[in-house]
Amino acid sequence: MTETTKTAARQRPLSPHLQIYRWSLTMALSILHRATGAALSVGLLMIVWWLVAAAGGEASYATFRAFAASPIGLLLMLGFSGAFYLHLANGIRHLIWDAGCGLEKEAADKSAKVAVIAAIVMTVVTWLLVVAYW
Amino acid sequence: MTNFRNPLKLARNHGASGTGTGHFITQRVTAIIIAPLAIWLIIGIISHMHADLTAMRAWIGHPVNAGLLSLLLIASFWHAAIGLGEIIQDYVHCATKKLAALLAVNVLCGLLGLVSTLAVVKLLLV
Repeated sequence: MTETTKTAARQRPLSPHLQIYRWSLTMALSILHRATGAALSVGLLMIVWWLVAAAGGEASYATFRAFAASPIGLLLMLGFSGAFYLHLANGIRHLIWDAGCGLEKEAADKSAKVAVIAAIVMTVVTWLLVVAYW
Repeated sequence: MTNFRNPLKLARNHGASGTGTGHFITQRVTAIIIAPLAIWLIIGIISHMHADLTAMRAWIGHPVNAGLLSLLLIASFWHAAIGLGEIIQDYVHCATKKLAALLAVNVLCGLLGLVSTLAVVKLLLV
C-alpha cells in the first residue's frame, strides 16, 4: 500500500503508450482487432437470441424479428458485420504472419491497407445484397 | 551440484496467463473454422430474410445446417472466451479481479455456447 502510494507520488517515468506514439494504420488495426473482437463477442448474443427465439415459438420469434428489423437492430447488424469483416481480414493477416510471411514494415503497411479495403468492400457487398433482397 | 533441469521446464507455464501455446493454437484453429462458416451463415441469413418461422426452423433444423451451425457456435464461443480472456489478462492486474473476470467470461461463453447449440439441436429433432 505505502509502496504504491510512494511510487505514484514520485511520478516515475512510464514507457510510451497510445497517446505518445504517432498513429499509424498498422497500429490502429492492431487495436481495432481487439476492439472488434470484443464487440463481436457481444454480437454473438444476437445470434443466440435468434436461435433461442426460433426454438421458442411464434411469440418469441416475432419479438426477435421486430428488433432485428428495427432501426437499432439494423444499425447493430451493420456494425457487427463491419466489425466481423475487419476482424476477418486482419485475422487472415495474423495467420499469414504466423506462417512467417509479410512481417517486413512495407509488407505490413501494404497488407493493412488491403485488410481495410477488403473489409469495406465485403461490408458494402453484404448490405447491397440485403437491399437487393429487401 | 549440477542442475539437470531443462531451462524450458523452468520457463514453461510461467507467462502472464500461466499457459500459452495451447491457447495460441486453439485460437487459430477456431479462427480457421469460423472464417468460412460465418460467411456461409451471413449468406444463409440474407437468403432467408423473408422466411417465416416454419421456413427458418426448417433451414436451421436441416441436418447439414444444424451440424455446421453447431460447429460455428462452439468454435465462436471458444474463440471469444480465449480472446476476451487475453484482453483481461493484459489489462486486469489485480489477481482476484482477474480470476473473477476470467471465470465470468468462461462460464458465460460456455453457457451461451451450450444454450445456442441446444436450440439448434431442438430444431434438428423437431
